[in-house]
Amino acid sequence: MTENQNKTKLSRHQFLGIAWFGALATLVGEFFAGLLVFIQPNLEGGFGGIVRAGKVEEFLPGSVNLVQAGRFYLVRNGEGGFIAYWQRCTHLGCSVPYEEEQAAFRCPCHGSVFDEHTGEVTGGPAPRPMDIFPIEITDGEVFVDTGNPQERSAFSDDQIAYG
Amino acid sequence: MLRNNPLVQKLVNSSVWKSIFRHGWPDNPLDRSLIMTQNVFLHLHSVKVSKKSLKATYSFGLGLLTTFSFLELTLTGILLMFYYVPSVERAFVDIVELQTTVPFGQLLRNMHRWGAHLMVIAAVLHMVRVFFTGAYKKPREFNWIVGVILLLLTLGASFTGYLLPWDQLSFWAITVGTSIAGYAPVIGPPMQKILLGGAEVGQESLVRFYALHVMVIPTFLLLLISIHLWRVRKDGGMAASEISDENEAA
Repeated sequence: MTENQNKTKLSRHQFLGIAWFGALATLVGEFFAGLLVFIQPNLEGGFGGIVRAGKVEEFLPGSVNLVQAGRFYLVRNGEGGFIAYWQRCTHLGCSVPYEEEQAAFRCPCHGSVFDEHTGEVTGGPAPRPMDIFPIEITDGEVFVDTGNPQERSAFSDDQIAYG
Repeated sequence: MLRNNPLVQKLVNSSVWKSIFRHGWPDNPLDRSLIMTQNVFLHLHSVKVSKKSLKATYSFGLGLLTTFSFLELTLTGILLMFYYVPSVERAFVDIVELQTTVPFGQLLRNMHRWGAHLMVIAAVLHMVRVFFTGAYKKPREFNWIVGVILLLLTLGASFTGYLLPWDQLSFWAITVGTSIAGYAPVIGPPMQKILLGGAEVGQESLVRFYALHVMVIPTFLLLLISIHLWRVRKDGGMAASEISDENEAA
């Protein structure tokens, strides 16, 4: 009996201390993990979800249309293809107004300019083209998934959606 | 004088008084010390201070100014909470009503606003003063770190309060401010999302900033200010006496 006790390196006192500390550390860890999950925002529905923009024929080829509910511009090119730009400047997040006479989006905060047809940066501090939202066209209606903004480094033809 | 007044005599000899204050009349060094050490609020402060550190141009009272602006902001902030509702429908209207129909509302809001500016300026100048007098050096390194955290908390309180009036300035300032946070590597994007509670500044952001502004940040500020003041005493009071002694010796 005494031999066994001598062989144990961990005393009962030390074991209980480690057990208590371990339990406490687990509890604190669980609290912070739970807190991190708790404060994650819920992005379903409304802006951040799928927004119905309207029927295909409502948008003339070559037009720029602001869809306020989804915070995006639905741009239809001359061939009838759609692209949806998030209205948010890629520099620091200001809303970008459309300026018809310049055929461009110009940010009032720090002067970034984006091309109407591609969303690419033509001036100012913005680091990348305007983010786009995926477009789904079903039964002649345009649906835009605003919960899934796509960052891109340049414009390419496969970003255009056709009905 | 005051002590000989029979009413005062009766008061300080009553069992209620004696149950609260466990020291005698402060006419001797011991009882004067006990006033400080036996009071939970006063014990943060030193019982004795060096005469040199009392020179106004040494510290310019900037730390005290910061502390008192925090207390002023707490008081006016609590009063503002009686009229302010953090909802996108009501926030701006509540602020306008507070300024136009609530007695002293305009004064209260301006005290809170200018007090906030004063606290940030005083905290920064206090930091500059501590740096240039070398008061961050051993054994005061820990208190310097506490002070840096306090500065960050002060800026955090200022930033979160900026959104609450819910006007155009607030909205775009927080849009730009949280976007800057989003540029931080790795933790930036999730931090931006958690701060905003969504993809853009909205109702969720307003409530989150409100909770941070009225509860979370002030709690940590109060805790750390207490530690900060207590450590000034524990680290040997203000650094004034030691430094000027060195200069005289040299």
